Amino acid sequence: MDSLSLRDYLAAIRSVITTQVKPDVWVHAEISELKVNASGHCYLTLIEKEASGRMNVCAKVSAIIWSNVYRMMSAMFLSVTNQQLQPGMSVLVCVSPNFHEAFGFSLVISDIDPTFTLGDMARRRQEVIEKLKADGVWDMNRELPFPELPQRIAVISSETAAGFGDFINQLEQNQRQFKFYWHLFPAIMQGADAPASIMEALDAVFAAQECFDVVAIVRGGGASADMLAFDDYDLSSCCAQFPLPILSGVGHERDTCVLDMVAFQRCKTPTAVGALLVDCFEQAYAKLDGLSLSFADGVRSLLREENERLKSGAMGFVKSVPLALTAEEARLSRLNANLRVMVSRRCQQEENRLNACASMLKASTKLKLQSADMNLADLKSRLQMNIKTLISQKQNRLDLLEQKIELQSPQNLLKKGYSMTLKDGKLVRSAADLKAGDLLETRFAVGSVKSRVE
Amino acid sequence: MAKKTEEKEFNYTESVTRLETIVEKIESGEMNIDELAEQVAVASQLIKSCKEKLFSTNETVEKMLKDLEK
Repeated sequence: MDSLSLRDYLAAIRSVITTQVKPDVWVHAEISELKVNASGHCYLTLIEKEASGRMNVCAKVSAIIWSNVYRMMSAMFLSVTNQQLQPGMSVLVCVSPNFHEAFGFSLVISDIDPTFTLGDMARRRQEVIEKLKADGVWDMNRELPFPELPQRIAVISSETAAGFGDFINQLEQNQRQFKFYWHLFPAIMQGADAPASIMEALDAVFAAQECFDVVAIVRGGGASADMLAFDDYDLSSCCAQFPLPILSGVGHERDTCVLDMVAFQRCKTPTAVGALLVDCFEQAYAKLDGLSLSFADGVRSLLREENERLKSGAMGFVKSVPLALTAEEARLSRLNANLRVMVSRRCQQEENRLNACASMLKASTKLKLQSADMNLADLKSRLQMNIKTLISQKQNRLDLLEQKIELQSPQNLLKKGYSMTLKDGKLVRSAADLKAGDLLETRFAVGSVKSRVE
Repeated sequence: MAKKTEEKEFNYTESVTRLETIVEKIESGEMNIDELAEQVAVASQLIKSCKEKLFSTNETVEKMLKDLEK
């Protein structure tokens, strides 16, 4: 059985590739890794993920851009996309296969079409925007109430990031020495790990949210700043729903990343974020200043007015007093005069009344007396008459009585032959009252007799 | 500077609105003299505390931020 050396076998493959596979083919793929070595050669790994499902990698190859090509290509790429070539980017590159017995297979990239990447980035950004809008969180952060005094700031940045220093200086060195309180929540602000790291920082801020008024996500870096991180769906969604207003200053001149769009307020640079905060204080201060001025003026003018009123009041008073006095005097003397007149008139009236009473009295008493006289006389005569009649009536009645008694007296009866029978001193009227043996007394006109019943 | 114990109660926005109402009352001439003295005291205190909020350090906030460090 004859066999080939590995080298021969691989050499055979290499010749097939070099002859059969067309060089300089335009291919679109995603960069998953990218390293530039000391000599300036750029080594990448290109991948392709399945469109759907768990998006796992269905194609993977390593690629190389020789330093001379890379230098020119990266400058051109930067000027068009304002970005550095970096992992996570989709790119359209012109490749040729390169198989080497010892180094294996790789693709040599000779050219790149940056507009493809731009288009892809824009497309992905649009996708994220649509998704956030669909989620209904697109405007949430922007609809939060912005505090009148954003004094306590949660800063998400990294100590080393360019913009961080400028931002803090802007706050601390503000012209009127307004007092700001800030606390740094460090995060990676560059590259693929940035979104997760910033979200971690946001969680920390969330935990202490009552200590803060606003959140500032700041990072300088100018043109070469990597924007991919700030188009990340999860990060933007997290910022959109964050309970505190977010100020984004991620330092990008031209493009607005999704984070900028969902944040409460986008600023071009960290310094601009600082300036915005200082400006809020400036306005509050101006308003307060205005108020205290108008307050002072108001008080002063009110006091002045009051003073005037008092003065004019006083003057008026001074003038009016004598007038009042004289008026009063006049009234008094008038009263006085009236008094005398009225008194005398009153006395006169009383006198007249009295006289009238007196004469009336006299007249009426005379009258009274006369009538009384007549009355008496009349009474007297009536009296005499009545007495007479009365006496005669009485007389007659007596005579009559006398006669009756006369008639009734027992003496007469006895004289006529009647007798009175008495038992124990009492008259007996019926025989039933008596029984045999009773002692009786019988009286006659003359004398009396005792007897016993048989 | 006096220790600010009732810091949480002090509300900047509310104080400014109160200040505005006092000023309006004065400017509209509704304020009578008796009220004036008292309102002046209230207003000046409000201005003082608002200015303090803008400029001076507030221990409680500083402390809270320091606690975050732990």
